[in-house]
Amino acid sequence: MTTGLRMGIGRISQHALGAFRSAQQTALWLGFAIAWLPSGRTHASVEITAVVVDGHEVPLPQPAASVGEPVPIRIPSTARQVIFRFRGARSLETPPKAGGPLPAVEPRAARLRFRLDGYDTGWRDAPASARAMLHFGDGTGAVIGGDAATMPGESAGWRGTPEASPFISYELIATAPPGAVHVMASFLTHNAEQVVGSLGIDDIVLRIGDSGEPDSLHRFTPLDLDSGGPTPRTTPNGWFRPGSRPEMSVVRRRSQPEPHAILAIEDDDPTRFGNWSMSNGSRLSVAEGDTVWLTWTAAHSFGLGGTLTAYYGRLKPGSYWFRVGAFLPGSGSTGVEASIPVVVVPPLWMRRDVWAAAVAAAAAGLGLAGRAIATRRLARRLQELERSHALERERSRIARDLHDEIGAKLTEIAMRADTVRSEVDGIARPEVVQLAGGIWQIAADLVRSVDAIVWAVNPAHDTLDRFAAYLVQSTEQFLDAAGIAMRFQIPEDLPPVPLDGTVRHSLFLAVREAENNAVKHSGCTTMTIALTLTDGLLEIVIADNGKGFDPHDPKATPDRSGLTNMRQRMEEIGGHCAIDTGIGRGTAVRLTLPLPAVLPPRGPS
Amino acid sequence: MMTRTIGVAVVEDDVHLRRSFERVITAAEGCRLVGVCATMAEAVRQIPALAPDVILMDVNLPDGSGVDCVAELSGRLPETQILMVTAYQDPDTAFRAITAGAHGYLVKPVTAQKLVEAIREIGDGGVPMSRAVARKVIAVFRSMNEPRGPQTQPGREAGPRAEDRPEGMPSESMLAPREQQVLEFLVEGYSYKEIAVQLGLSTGTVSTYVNRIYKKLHVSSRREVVAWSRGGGDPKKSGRS
Repeated sequence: MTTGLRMGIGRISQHALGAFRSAQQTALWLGFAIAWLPSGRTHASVEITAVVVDGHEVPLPQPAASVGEPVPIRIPSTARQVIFRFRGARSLETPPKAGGPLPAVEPRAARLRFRLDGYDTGWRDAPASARAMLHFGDGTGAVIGGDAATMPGESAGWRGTPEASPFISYELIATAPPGAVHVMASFLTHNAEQVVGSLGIDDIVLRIGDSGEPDSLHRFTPLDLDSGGPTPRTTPNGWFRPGSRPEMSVVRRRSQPEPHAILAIEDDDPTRFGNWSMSNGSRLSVAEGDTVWLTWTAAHSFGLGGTLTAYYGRLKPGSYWFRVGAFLPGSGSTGVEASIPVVVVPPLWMRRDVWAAAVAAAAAGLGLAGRAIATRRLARRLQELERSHALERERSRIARDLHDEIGAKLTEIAMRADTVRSEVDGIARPEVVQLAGGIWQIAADLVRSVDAIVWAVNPAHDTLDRFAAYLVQSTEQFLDAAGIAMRFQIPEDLPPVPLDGTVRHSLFLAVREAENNAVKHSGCTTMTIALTLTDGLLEIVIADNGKGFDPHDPKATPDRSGLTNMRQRMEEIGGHCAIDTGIGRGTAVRLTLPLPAVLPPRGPS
Repeated sequence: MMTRTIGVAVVEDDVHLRRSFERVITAAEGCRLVGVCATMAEAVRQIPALAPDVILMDVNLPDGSGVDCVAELSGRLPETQILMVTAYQDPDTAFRAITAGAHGYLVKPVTAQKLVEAIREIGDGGVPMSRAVARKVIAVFRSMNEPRGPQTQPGREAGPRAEDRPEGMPSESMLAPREQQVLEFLVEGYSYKEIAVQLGLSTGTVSTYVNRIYKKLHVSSRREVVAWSRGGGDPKKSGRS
């Protein structure tokens, strides 16, 4: 397991380094990047793990894909919320000793910042800070009061490490509460989730006075070191490391104004905090009402690490890049970046090129484009253009082309799949036979979908009576195949009320959805489809004798999205969908649609 | 029934589908492939001499409509059953094919099993009629029946049973009561089996009634359905069935 992880990282980092060399910018590599620090022992990586659009996760390109230009993630401009999840990690790694066990790789947090190019004007980095605190004790070991000051974000002139950066003066003033007998100071990083960063502290001075004038002054820097020079693990006299991860509190060397040791905290763990506190031996005596001044200088940079989420609202159509930068606290920016291109596309009905595109899409990959959505959009497309007379001819042509090209080819696929199935039946493994049967089923479903599109697109069918005829034909095919008895209550002499392609198609799909739900979930043996036209109100009722469901129990409701689809389809064309059901009493779906005008019935003129 | 093989001819312009049909028919027990054509011209020239029991007919042919081809062949091969095959579920086309002399209608993509079943059924004298086609058929007969009076109001009361239909001559002369009943049950969604139970008949007898309905329609197609709906039935036709 360790081996796998190690090797995996090694491969990826090599890959990323190649990209570094070739690109002027840092690696832009399908949402994953990694880099080695100069030491060669620690590296940071950053990874975009998920894009969620209105609660639905969008598939990301796989990191295993090639380095070329990644395919943008497509997000509809109607999306209300877009969320990017990403995470960073640093790994400490030492070369394996010959013959020895491979060392464990311990991923820890890298600092992260993010931006959505095309939307954000700069890097975003949520507020994070380190704190200085004064604690007052009552002599029994209890802390009875205190105060805190924050060191937010990044100090001015930050240059990647505290020792390379200018130090800023800070001050914290507190008044000793009643019962206070001593005071001590501590410096710590925040243990709030996700905060990581780097802090250097110098020039620590405590002054204590009783009336605004300090009467005692205590310097805590330069640090009192026992022996030798400062190393990260040295513990200066009078200080200790009470943080939840003591090794994050270190001693560093600062050369300004002359070489000396300083307290520092390198927090690379978003769930823990580092702390430098005065030990009991160095605490100072106070009396109630004393004023305590803590002054110090610090250089720091705090930000977010771990797994983070960036939220965006509605985005305008256009091209974007979501970028995540990772670097290691205390080590300066390694410039590791991951990014993914994002394209926000207007919905189909807002696009002028859609007519051509819809036809091309239908011709090129109807099967892939998905059925219901594509056809609904296609039908909606048509509605807008319907005014023009040329469209009539165009519609007929498309209907013919769709039928002749796509329909015929899909039929062929189905027939061939069926041939394969029957040829291998009893010879090949059952899975293979099933697979061929599955291909047949998909192709057969697509044939029906194309058929519905062809029918919807063809202006010859723009009337209610044609709709009813198609409905009967399609229903009987579907229910015969499902082995369900059917009853039609549909007048044969319906008037030729105009019903345009959009309305016909939505209505048809809503009925089909109701039939589908009944066949899939109700366990019914008979289905009744009734159609009436009364005073310009078209009503279609699809009723089954199945087991029904409790409409108030969201869990018991089968295939909620199916029900939602039906409602949506009907509402889109100005209609309504109601469901009457209950456990043990079947389900009736009632679709109603006001029709604009009823023409006189057909007959001899 | 004696074991006999059903001679099948295929008219289909798509080469792959044609091969597919050939393979299925050749492999099917009790079926025999007698001829294969890709165009209407070929079919009209070759098929009458082959005298198949069943013809599988594509609706769209490169040199004409399959419906025209049916009309042409059904006149010359009165004993041959023609099965239309199409990917396009259009009840109007189905109806036109039937009035031209077809006996059944298969919607692609069919499985080999469905295809063979349909050939056997029709070859053994079965006469399928879909509910969608039955709707058209009953409407046509009704329109012959009610051309002079006011149309019934469309709406709830205009159910398929149409109790208000006058016990009149033209309709009765066109469809026998049993034929009318079978049609009405079909329109209401009943299967042949269910109709047989309802009327106390065998499914074979249901097929016989449907076949008579077809024959009346075939006759009508030669004299234009339109003429019927305009001027009422020709009394001479009532003798046929």
